[in-house]
Amino acid sequence: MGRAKVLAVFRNEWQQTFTASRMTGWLMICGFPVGLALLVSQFGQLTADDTEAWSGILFFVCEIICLLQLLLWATPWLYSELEGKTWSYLAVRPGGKSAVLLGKYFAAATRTMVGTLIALSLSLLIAQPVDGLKVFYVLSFIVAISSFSYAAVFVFLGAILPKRAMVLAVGYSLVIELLISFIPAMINKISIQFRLRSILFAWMDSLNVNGSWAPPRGLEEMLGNSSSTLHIGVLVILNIALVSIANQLVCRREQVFKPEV
Amino acid sequence: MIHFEEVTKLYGSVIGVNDINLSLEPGSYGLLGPNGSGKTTLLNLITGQLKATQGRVRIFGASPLLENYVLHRIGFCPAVDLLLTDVTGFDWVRYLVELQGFDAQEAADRTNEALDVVALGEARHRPIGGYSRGMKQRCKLAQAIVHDPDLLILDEPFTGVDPVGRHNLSEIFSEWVEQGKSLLVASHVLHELEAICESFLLICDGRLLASGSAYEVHSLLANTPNQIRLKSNQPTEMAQNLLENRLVDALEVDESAGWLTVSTTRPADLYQQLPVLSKQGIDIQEMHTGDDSLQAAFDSLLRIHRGEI
Repeated sequence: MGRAKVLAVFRNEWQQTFTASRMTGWLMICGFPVGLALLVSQFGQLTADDTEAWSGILFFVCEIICLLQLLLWATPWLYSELEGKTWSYLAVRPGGKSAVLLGKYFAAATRTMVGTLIALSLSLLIAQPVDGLKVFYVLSFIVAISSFSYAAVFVFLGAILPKRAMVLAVGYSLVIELLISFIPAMINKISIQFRLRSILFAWMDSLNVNGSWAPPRGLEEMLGNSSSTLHIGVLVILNIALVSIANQLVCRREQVFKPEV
Repeated sequence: MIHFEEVTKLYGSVIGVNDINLSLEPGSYGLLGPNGSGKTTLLNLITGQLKATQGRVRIFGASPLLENYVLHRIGFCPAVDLLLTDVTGFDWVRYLVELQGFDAQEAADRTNEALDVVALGEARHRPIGGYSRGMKQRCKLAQAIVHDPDLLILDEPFTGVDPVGRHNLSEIFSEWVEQGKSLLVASHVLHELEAICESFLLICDGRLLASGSAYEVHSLLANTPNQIRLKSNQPTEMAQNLLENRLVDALEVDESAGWLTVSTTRPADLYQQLPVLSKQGIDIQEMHTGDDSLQAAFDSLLRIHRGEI
């Protein structure tokens, strides 16, 4: 399939970002955490000393804007081509289908990551919490890994059912990431949010006692007992698995909505 | 070059193509058939966009679906209109040629060359949304030839193009064939392809009905029975006269309504007989000739294929 082809799609996708409509959408979504940080710092009761609270708020808001951006950019990766009747031109290139999938996956993930990181940086500059640099490093890593992980899920959903991908992705976000992930039971482990939340708490040393991970009773089910390395490993495997399955689906399945006999 | 072995494609219960056996050597071919006859399905099977429900498709000895490296030898121009608006012709074609695996510089050079060939050189940096229908068709053609394939596949390339545009496109296709490259053009209009293609494939209702040179196709179409309906005050007498003169192959008389429906392979001779009938007092009040479009000819071929004629 070739890296050059993936890079061509990646570059093409990024070029399309710099249109007025897309930039406006991007700014609106990414402006949300900045506006929130401004409001909370001006009118809320949080101070710079409330590092944990700031990191919690920014973590949650960054996750939401990652999901929103990826809903827009990763989910319709195939449907946009089918709807625009451009898929035929791409699918008849050797390795074209895989290149389009991977190029769009990386473009959606990096675009989301860049936008969210800018928003995070501005928010932290406004909030200026104590240990701000540490908050920035931890949240930056979480934003990066969540951008790729959610992108993989949405790209996968977009390959399974292109026409209904948006409905599937919104349903997934609401049910799995916003509902099930907060259920204090084993089932929350199926969500990406659970893994990211666990990494946040572990790396912010919020719940460490004498240097070891010790979530208090009641939060154990919300955060689990596993190490951050395991959580990262699970997310990496999830990324690879979902993108690989999506690739198989798109390469082997016919992408025709109605018979053009 | 193209090899189909008992290929059938079903869309649920709808038949796209039906039990097609085909073996084409390099050359220029016109794929003729009415709308909905299965031309696009056939082309999509060749380009690996569709999977045959039954049978085997081989292009240059490889499966276009599973061994898609073979797609490098194919240039495909689909029938669908270009709906892109903001992107320029140059950027779009360059993007597609990069997907063929060429580096950025070579892709740019090839794009410029291809856009010049299709006479879009001056409009290359204009957004596609501002192109005329003919310019869009030429842009689609540029992306199909830009990687210098061995086989160029075009689906209804003349649709929506004005006569001058058609002439220009025909010249490009003719030059392509003169270079010794292969061409497969799908169309529902025979005369559009006559100047370009050496051989023709006739497809209808998903079945490959016939194939051959332009002369053979013309003969075949000329020999297919035409259906003519005549309204007269004496339909039975008229039927008797036409039968005596051996001008009809089959006929049906509706005495009460005064209609005579005939099937003939000699329509010109039959038309010459009509004034004679009139002189004999058999008035012809109405005459409806069968549609002489390809659809009518294909209907006749299909009936022959089914053994109905």
